[in-house]
Amino acid sequence: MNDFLFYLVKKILMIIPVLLGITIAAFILGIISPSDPAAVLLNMDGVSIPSIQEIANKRHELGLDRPYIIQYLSWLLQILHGDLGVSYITQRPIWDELMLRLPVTISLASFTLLLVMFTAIPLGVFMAYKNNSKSDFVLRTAALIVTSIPAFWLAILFMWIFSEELHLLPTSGYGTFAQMIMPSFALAAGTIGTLVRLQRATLLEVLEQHFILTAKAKGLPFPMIIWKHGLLNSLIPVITLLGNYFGAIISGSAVIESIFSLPGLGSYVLEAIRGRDYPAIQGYVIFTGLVFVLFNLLVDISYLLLNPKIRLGGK
Amino acid sequence: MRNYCLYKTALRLLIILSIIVSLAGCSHNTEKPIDPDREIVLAAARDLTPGDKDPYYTSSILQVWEPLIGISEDGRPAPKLAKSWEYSSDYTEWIFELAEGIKFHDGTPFNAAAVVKNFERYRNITPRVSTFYLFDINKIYPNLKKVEEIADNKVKLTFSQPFSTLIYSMTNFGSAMFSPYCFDSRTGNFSTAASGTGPFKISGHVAKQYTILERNDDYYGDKAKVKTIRIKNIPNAETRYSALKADEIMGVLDIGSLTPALTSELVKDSRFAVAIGKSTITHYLFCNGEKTPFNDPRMIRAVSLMINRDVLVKNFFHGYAMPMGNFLNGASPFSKEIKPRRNVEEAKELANAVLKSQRANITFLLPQYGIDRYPYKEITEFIQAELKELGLNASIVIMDWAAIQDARATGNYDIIIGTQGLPNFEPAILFKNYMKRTGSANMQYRLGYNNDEAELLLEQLDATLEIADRAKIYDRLQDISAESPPCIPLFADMNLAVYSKKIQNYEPLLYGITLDKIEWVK
Amino acid sequence: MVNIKQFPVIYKIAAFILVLMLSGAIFAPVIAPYDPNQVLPDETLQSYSGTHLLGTDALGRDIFSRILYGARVSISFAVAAALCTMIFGVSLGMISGYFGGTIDTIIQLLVNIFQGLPGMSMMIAIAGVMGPSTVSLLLAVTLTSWSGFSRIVRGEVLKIREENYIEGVRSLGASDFYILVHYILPNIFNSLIILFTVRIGTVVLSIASLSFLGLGMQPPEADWGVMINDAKIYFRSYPNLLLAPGLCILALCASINLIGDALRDLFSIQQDINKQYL
Repeated sequence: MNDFLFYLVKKILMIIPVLLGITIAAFILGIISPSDPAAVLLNMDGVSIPSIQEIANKRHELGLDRPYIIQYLSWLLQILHGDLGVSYITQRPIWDELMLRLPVTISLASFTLLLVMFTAIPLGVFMAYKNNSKSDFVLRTAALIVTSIPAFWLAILFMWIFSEELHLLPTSGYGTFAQMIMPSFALAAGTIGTLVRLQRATLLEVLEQHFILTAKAKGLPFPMIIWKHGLLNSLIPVITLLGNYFGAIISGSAVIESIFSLPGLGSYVLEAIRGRDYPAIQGYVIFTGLVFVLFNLLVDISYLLLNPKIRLGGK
Repeated sequence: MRNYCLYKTALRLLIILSIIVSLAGCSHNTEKPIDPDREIVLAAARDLTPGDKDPYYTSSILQVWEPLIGISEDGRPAPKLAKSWEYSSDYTEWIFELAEGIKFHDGTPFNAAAVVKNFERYRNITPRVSTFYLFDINKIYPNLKKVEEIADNKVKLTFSQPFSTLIYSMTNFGSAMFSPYCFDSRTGNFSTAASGTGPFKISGHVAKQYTILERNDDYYGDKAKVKTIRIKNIPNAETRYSALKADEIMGVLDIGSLTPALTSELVKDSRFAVAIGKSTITHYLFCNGEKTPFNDPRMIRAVSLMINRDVLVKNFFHGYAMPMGNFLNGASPFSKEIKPRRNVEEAKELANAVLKSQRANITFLLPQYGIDRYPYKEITEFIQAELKELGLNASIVIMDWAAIQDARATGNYDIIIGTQGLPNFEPAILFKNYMKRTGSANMQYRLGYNNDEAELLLEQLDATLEIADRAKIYDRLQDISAESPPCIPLFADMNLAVYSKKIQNYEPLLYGITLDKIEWVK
Repeated sequence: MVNIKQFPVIYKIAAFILVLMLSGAIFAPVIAPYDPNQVLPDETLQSYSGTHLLGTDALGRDIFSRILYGARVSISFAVAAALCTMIFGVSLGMISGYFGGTIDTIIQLLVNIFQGLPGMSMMIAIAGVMGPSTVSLLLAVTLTSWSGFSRIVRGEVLKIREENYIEGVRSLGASDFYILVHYILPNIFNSLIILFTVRIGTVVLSIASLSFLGLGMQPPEADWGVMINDAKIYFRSYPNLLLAPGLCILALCASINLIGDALRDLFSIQQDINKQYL
């Protein structure tokens, strides 16, 4: 029990340097990217051509002419007071903008995750059980095909079939359950395909191990073997994948969000990067970094619970 | 057995899911009774209501606010909230007579006092960035000394220097009028939804999702035909196309409403139509005139003579653009028609003279926004092939706009394809920016433009007050820019008002569409 | 030894398809009837015909030739990217999982940082510093995906590390490096193979998505992902623009994955044989 607590505390303390590291990295990325947020802002309408002096004035107004260290440290100080700052482009508090977009991303991520878990895991188990049979074959082919189509194409195809031709689902927007169906499917499809095959493979491997033979010899019914011993062990790589995947959803759903007009965090950071909106990028990074790191903590804890054979921290 | 149970539950889940899907779909399939007050849903690529920190709160397209002076379809200023004006002989004093009996949406009367308050706001918010037009009172009303109310319906503007083209400068976004009670007088930020004088009021807005307009039943002019309009924000062009096909929206508006390729695809379906109008946007090729090979103006001319604009318009714009030979966009009343010339032999001769039978490697920058909104990718690849014949090996690099601005600022480019809109229908600013040696575009885009006659004419311009005389100078400047372009004009863009035939009177304007005239077809 | 003839037919088909694609890629300059970048303004958007086997695209370029040359670009880039990601991710994951302690903490710190950064930000920054090019794309793809790999590897290593036979070998005097290479690596090899093959497929798909956002291969490069992206405007009326590169990507990803499965089956059969001698 003490070991466990120690592990937990250590993990929590780790969050701070990780967050710091992420913000420093994001800041550096901002510096080395070719850009001048002042010039971008003053030309936002696509018509005005600001003079050199006007750009310089704007840079001064945004504090961009200070040395980099000062810029980073003053931002850090601001954060420690709980203020994420104000967006260059909209002049709105970044916290407000993130809060506006968070529910959208959470709905999308949750729907997708649920979809993935409740299709991939049972299907993978089923395929392992029916190894090398016809249904296994069909499902494997389907999984293969689904992982070989880019997500944005699935999205366009879905939209074409279900909205344009069949008039069954709304094309875009956020607010109703129906509007989340296509985006979730498009996002989930590739991962379902991968996960299904991974689940099947690891379960098959686990089933080959000796302790399974022992259980069989003991006379336990096969499905219970799968459930009690096989499944739990095979879930480890699957959970790792899900952990990675969640992070990918938070940051990488920009394409799906753009296609389905979902004003979520993915499209927010895309706009911020395009507009070189440094405070917004930094704010986003801290915010999602925190969420992501906490989520990984949960994943690490579930590792422990699933396989106590992994000793904590040392040999 | 357990896994059969698992399989069965999975199957059941899938069945339940599909039932839910069809149920959700069913709610969209029921036929609605034909109700003329039914909401018309349109879509735009960007959020047309940036809100309280924006200088205008919402785009002029939404017809929520009106300016003192608007623009007529031939590009000339037209009276709007100011019904007439007069000026002193030295153009330093202007008196505007305001239209009477007009109220803002919140009931406040529109009068000279309100106008003065609005000008105070202009001072407070200068300069303020916006996705529509950067607002700077010193650019729109240079040397403005006083704004005073001289009667309940008369306002006088006094300048310290003569300003003969004031009327052109203050059109549309230059003189937006809002009720003094809807903005904070100190910061200029809006404290409630903007209250203007237009045929529509804002009755709802969710950031990045939609704006709902409601007919202003107290409008002083012709009231809007439809009761409510919802303008959805759909950033992706293909999604707007799908939404039109799925009958979710009835039309698209604003810049880049629908790409030319998708438009020509859509109108194959007889349920849809497109009305075409002039646009203030021109597509140009900007060449780096500060290094080889484009520091020799002959090379620039060679490229202009080589490019097959007709094929580009036919194949990639699907006819929804007009080949341009004039630097000045046709929407300006001062522009004249100058047809672009194409002469492949002459082009090759000029290029050879500059390159001396050697090949040159150049970088051709392609902005991402151009790929999303226009057929830039195909056009650039096509032009790349044409440049090859001139001895130029162009390598195409796709960059986002901020990176391109940076490349421009550091001179790390040879050609950029991009757009430039008309800042003002009176082209003084445009010509100065591009053709003066110290013009901001000339210097920052590194065009290296150097023309003595243009320089002289532009200096003369400052002293020329009479519009007719200025027009003559512009005439000559256009000719100069045709022989020796600061940047190569390719095509004039077109305003594509794409709509479903379920609604009518969907016509394009120079800015936006005839929102107040659209209605359901009976 | 293992009997290849016993392998299911599907694996042989996959191998055949892969060989077909590779030869198409290698012999593209010989087989392709046209220059893939040759613009033919009078022959745009044609369907299958005698002169153009798969039709032409919006610029009149022959699709068949672009597919062949695209094979070169797509396959070589995908393999290179997957390899780089693997090397980075596997080595760091193994070290992190095996040694534990401070090294683990530090490497996990790096992993978390890299995973927490928005991938797009990294891509734009790298493209900005190095100029948009294939190399910068390679670097960007590697940097954004190695962390996920190393986590999976670490998870696997953590499981194996505690096995009894590792203790046994260690007590016999084997060095850490020896154990890593000869015991840990072979045991995670199976999962790695599957991940590697999936990775190749993912990279090909990523390039397509990146093109959507403007960060992919630069034109007029005939990459399959780019071709798919270009087809999205025209596919309703000219489906051949989509079908050709789409089916190719499908075939490539699918056959690579199947080969991975085949190898996995091969190795587990080998393990069964080995176990007889334990």
